[in-house]
Order: sequence, then C-alpha cells, then structure tokens
Amino acid sequence: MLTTMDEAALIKEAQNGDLNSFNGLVLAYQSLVYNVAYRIMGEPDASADATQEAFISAFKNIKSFRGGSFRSWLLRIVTNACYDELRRRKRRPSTSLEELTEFSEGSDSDEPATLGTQTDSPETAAARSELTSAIEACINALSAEFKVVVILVDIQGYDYQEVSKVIDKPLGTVKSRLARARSKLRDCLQQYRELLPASFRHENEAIV
Amino acid sequence: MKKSNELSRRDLERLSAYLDGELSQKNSTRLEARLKAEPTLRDALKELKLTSRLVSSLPEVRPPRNFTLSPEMVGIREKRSMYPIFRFATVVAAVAFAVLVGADTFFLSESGMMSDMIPAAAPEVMLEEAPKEVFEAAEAPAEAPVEEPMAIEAVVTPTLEVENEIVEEGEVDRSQEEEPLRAPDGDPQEYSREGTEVRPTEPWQDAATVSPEGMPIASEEAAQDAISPTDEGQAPPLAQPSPTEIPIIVDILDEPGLSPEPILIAEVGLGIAALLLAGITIYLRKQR
Repeated sequence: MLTTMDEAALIKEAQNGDLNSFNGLVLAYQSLVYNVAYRIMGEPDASADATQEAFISAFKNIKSFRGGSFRSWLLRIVTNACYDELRRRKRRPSTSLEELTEFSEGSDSDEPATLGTQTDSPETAAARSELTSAIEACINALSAEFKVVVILVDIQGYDYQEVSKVIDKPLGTVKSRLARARSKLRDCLQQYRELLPASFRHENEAIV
Repeated sequence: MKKSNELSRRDLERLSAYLDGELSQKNSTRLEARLKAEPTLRDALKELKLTSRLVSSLPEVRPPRNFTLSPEMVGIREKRSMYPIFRFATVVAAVAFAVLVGADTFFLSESGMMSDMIPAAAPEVMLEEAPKEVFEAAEAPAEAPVEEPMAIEAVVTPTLEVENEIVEEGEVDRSQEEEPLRAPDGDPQEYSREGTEVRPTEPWQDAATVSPEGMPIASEEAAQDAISPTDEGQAPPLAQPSPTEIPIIVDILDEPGLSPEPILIAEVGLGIAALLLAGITIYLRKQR
C-alpha cells in the first residue's frame, strides 16, 4: 500500500514521463480498477481490456492531473473506459449485452478468482456462488449510470462526495441515482429470495 | 397502508441517503420521527439496507494479470531508441575530438622538430630539387619578373599531364599562400616589391614556399643561402624538376601542423559538439 508521499512522488515522476513510476501506481491500483471495471462490465475479458485501456489513458493524460484524489481521478477514467467499451459492444451485437447480463446458474467457467479465505462446505459454496451470481445478474441489469454509483458506494464504500467527483455530477444526482439503483436491485432480488441466507431471509420475510 | 415499493421518489432518496449517513442532521431528525410513526417507511428502509448489504457482500475479484504498461503500449518507443543513437554519436564525437587533439599535438611537436632541422636542410632541398627556381628567385626582384612564367614553361615541359597537374596544384597553393605569389600572374611591379620585402619568419618556410611552378617567392636571405654553395654569377645547370618531387613539396604545405587555425576551429567545434551530445544523452538517459 502506497503512502500519500510515495504516491505523490510517483505521480510527479510519472508526469515527467517516467513509466516505471507510473507502473508503481498501476500495481497499487490495478486491483481496485479491475474490480470496478469487472462490476461494471460483468465479465473478465472486457474488464481486463477496459482496465488496460484505462491505465494507458491515465498515463497519457497524467499531466492533466492537478492534485486532489488520484483514486477519484483514476476511477473516473476507468468508468469512462467502461462506458466506451459498453457502447462499442452495443454497436456490435455479436458480443451481446445478453452475454454480460444473463444470469447463468452455475456457469462460472469465466469467473475470475475471488479473494478471501472462506472455507465453506461444497453446499454452502455452491449456494454462495448462486447468490453471488444472482446479485451480479441484478447489477448487470442496471443501466451503466446506476451501476457505477451503486458499485462505488455499496461495493467500494465511497462517500457521495467522492462518487460525485468520479462521475462528475452533483451530489443530488448521486443521491437520486443511488436510491433508484437500490430500488431496482431490491425489486430484482425478489426473484432470488430462496437463495438468500437465513438471516437475510428472516429479515426480508419480516419486511414482506 | 402504503407498500414500501410505492414510496415517493423523494422519500426513497431520503431513506437511501439516511442509510449511508449522508442526510443532514436536520433531515435525519425529521426522518427518524417519521420512521417511528410510519411502518411502511421502516419497511422500505429495511429493504434498502438488505439490498445494500447483499451488494456489498460481493467478493473482491483477483485481477487475471498485471496491467503494468510497456513503452510500446504508450507509444514511447521513439524516445527510447534515441538514447543509443545519441550515446553513439557522443562517443564518436569524443573520440574524433581526442584523435584530432592528439594528432595536432603530435604534428606540432613534429613541426617543431622540423623547424629545428630544416634551416640546415632547406638549402640542400632547394639545390637538389629546384635549383633553377631558387636562383631565379634571387635574381628575379632585380630582373623582369614577367619572364618567369616562360622559364617555368621551359622547365615544366616533360609531359602535358605533368604540366597541368603542376599548374593546378601550384594555383591552389598560391591562393592559400602569401600575396606575393600572385605577382607573376598579376602586377609585375607588385611582385617585384613584395618578392623582395617578404621575410619568412621560419627558415623552413623558405623551402616550403618554393612553388611547384618555380615561382621566385623565396626571400633574399633564402635565395642567398641557396646560392651560397655555388658560384653566384653562374646559374647552375638547368635541372629538370621531377614531376614526383613537386607534389612532395606541396604535401609539406598540407601538413596539419603548418596551418593550425582550421584545426583549432575543428577542435573547438568537435569539443562543443561532444559536450552538447553528452548533455542530450544524459537528458535522454534520465527520461528513460
């Protein structure tokens, strides 16, 4: 993990054209960038392409970085790279969006490896995988604008202010998009209630 | 009773922001009061909270590979390829500079040795190689110099090729040498004046300034030195100048040590070029 001073030094050297310093930043942020790209794009190959494009674009434009949060600046580039990639895929139906959004039970051959050291039983692991797939399917069903906001707040844990910087929209837009995204996700997840863990189910049943 | 999914959009936004602690203190207090009173609002809040927890439970994925950039990816191959070129150019310039300075120093010391040796050798050279020219040089100032080219023609007649070669080289040398050399081609008066007044600073220059055309450009002292071994009143037998000997004399004029100014300029130029190239190379090295 980079300290603020290390990061500032690497950014300055990268702004002077030092590719090695920029690669130091790449190593520090590639996991975050790839995860955000993966949640937006919904599949590994497109996410890797978007991540690579984002870093190339970031290096070429790093002189335009005028301070502030480098993470926000970088995430903005990533989200834009994802929007571009999604637009490209929309124009070329051969790599259909259905492929990205389709919830295919148990078809996790293209799934990237997940981090963590959970030692679940095979049944629990299977159930967790199904739930994960269900949530991902619901997220993928959202439009890109809603998706980005819910990913940044609920998955990455950023506050509204930072999300506002990333998407370059006012705070009110962030609030509105997030509320609508959560509402849509809630409706989508209703069809997978049987997959929810007992605690969630109990909580949910109490609500419904 | 309103169902949770029938909430107004505004209430939904308030609940979502309240969930994230992004609602102002005033609005939070107001909403909390409503939550106590409105079960539908409470249910909606629970649903949103559950949804948020489910989304946040998604596992972090591991990147399939490193995304570090190569120079080719960002199009900086040209910059990298410039470095070895400039490094090579710097080495070449530095070596050329060193060689030139070394050679200059060497020839300067050689010419210093020559200047010690030539005062004794010069008369012999003049006698052996171009006795007629030297004698004429001694006599010319007093006589009509316009006749000299004719004498040269008489001397340099073995072959037409040799004559042409000698004339060409002689003209080149004349243009580079002192003004009096032009005299035979130009104003005889001036030649006469200059030819008698020029005093070479170095004795070896007397030998060197014997023109391939046999121009009487040597000073009086040199001429007298040349004459001294022979009878002053008689010209020595007319020696046919060997075509191979004349270029040798011309070659002496071309020795680096004899014209130091162009070499000095070249040395300074090369030195500056080497320094500039070294600076650029260091800069490119830092940029890599």
